[in-house]
Amino acid sequence: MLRFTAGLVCVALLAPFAARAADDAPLTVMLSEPPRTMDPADQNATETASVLEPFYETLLKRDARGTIQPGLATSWRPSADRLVWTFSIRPGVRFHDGAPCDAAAVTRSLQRLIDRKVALAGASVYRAVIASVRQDGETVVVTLARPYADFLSLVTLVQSAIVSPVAVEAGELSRRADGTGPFRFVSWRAGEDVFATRNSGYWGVVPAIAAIDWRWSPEPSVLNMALQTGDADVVIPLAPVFARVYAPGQSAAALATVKRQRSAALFWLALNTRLKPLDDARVRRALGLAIDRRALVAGLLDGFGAPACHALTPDIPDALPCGAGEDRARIDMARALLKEAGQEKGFSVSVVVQEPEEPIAEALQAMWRPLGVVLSIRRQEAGVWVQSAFAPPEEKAREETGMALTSWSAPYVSDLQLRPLYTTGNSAPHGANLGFYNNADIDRMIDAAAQDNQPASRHETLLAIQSTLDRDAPIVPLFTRDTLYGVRNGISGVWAATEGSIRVVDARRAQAQ
Amino acid sequence: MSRLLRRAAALPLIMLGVSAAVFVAIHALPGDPARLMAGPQAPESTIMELRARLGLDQPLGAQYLHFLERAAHGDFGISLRDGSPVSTVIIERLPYSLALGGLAYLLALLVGVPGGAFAAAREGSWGDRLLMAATLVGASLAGFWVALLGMEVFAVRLRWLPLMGAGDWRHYVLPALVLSLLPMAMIVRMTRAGVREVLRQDYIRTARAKGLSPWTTITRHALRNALAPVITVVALNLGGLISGAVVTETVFDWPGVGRLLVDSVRYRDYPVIQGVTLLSVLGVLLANLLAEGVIAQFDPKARSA
Repeated sequence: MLRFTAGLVCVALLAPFAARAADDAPLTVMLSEPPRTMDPADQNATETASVLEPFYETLLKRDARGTIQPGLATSWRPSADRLVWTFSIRPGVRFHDGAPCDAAAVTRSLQRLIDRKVALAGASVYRAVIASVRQDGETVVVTLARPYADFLSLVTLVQSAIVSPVAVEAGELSRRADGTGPFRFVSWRAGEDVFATRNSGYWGVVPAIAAIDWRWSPEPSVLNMALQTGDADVVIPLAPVFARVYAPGQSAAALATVKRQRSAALFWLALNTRLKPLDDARVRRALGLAIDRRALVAGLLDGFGAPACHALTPDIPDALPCGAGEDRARIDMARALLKEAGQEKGFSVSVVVQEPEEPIAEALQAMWRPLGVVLSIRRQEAGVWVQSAFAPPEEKAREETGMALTSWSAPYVSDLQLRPLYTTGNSAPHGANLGFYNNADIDRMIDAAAQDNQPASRHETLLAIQSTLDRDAPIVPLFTRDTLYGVRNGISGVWAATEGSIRVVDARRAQAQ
Repeated sequence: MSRLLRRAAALPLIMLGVSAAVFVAIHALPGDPARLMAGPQAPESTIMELRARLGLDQPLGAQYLHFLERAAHGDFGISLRDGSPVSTVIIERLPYSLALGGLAYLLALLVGVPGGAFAAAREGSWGDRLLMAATLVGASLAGFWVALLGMEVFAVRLRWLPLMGAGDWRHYVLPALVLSLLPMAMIVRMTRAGVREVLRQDYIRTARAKGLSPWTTITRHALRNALAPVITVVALNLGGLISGAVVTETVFDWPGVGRLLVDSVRYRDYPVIQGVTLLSVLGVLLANLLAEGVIAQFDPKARSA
């Protein structure tokens, strides 16, 4: 038996592992989870988007400031009613497999995106908005099902990235990225890394770094240690608690720098509007009033975030900021509202949370105690949480689920921040309206805002939506969490996008490195 | 031998029963893979379409029969996450888990057996007490914590060893040491107890009376008879190596089956969970047979049973 064990060990120890020359060292980027697929349209995960971004390109793209810039489309024009959009495709671009990325290929890629038979996980919004896609010479014509003010934002998202028809035909896209981006896919060693090399035939500026090696670890302290040892050149996310290790004057400051990006990752609490006493808007408002959001940001995020008091996040120009004192607890006002609702003695309610978010629930537990509100926390594994949070009203009533604590990020597109969470048609289990909020006015206003191309009237509608939601309080917004990431000193050109993905295609090493 | 053959012949039937139980258990897990793939903002229509694409809209019985039909041809389905064949996904990871686990058990045996024999021979001495205290600590420490501590000391501060990942021999040192702690402590204690028992037997007294040195008495006579329970436990644990070391592999970013299982459970990748679980069960059953065979070589009573 000993010989058997020793044999196993020897076989593995002698297994060849790829060795890479030091002068051609790849940029190693560590994430908190592995990519889920290499198909950009079949996912909705920030980490996966980070990995895919160097491989693919979209018709339009956002720069570091969030401004829309040409991508694979050099120009675009809408029809008078803004229902038909014509994109001129950049000439001479080729996919990594050598196939031309012309209007025909772009048309096929977008048609695949909205094809219900293909059923891609990240395609639902495109299928709702786009009616058809056709080629017209060197242009691609996209016809919308209805006017959609944020349509151009949709074609900047990685889900709409143009994929090679050859890879689609071969059925390899889920395992092997094939786009037009500045990096070519080399390998995806399951459980280990994704390796990419510079695309020397790239139509734009060829990257300075020769290769990217994507790795991952779910353990925050391992990400921090990897940044210190140099096992990783870039880590994202870096837990706030480790940020102080790299503060000026600390020993690790000589190794790496922590960077901060304001993010659209909103943390919120969905309230079950069909469960007593949460069916009373006064009770729901009282719960929101009793929360000290500034303390949550200071205590749970070490200050790396911002209190959220309204439905839209700050990346939306129409978002209402927190008013004076709104981010502080207003216990007296909360008590008065509870008294008005006949709940002055308080009540018991339960919340379902995923494991990493339990500290938030514990803080709320303490903040609501002065009101006599007893919060019981049901900590759940991610899959179990999904089942609980998306349960229909009867099931939530049976299990007495009063609240669900969650977060998400949908920057720049107000419709994506509002429609899934607040419209009647998206009530769970059909969508993410987890508290079954039902308001025909809100449904109508969200539709109107989505279709309105006039900034002034749209602004008014979005303000009205936020005010109505403040009054009805179907959710309690808590805070937005900044994206923290660490970069080894001597590396520049790395930035994080508002939705939390990391952008490394423009990275370069200083000569001294 | 005939008993072993009879047991081996029963394996397919056992696996069939286990596969049904595992299939039902996995599908009873709360959480929908389609929802986890599409994210919270996806409408139900997308979820339903995804479920149809993944074959999850079929009745459970039909899904199981389909699984059996494919499994009979050596096809365990495709991963719901990336469409890779399950067998390929597992085969890619298996050598890493076997190597790490094998090395950890080798270490545990190399330290545990002599350590246990030494402690038994010097029962009550300071050395024995120290070793027993060390095994108590080794068995009690959380692997997760020891792993992080080891990384901080040997990788971050001293820079002697790599932090994580699989690579050359240096990558094996920390994870193998961490993984070996518990079995090492267990083997030391079991060996000590076994040898201590044997040392009280009359034939050992006779051997000593004939002038054999204490060391020869232990290695030639006592250990041979004391090791049967150790072998049983180690052999049974070898079966578990297939399913990997979940915590150690996760912390050390080790691309083994344990980490694959964690990721697959997180995303409810049913075919991969099913594949890993069945392989693990098969491993334990085969290890059981192996243990019986090996013990029969050591213990004449087991041969005649």
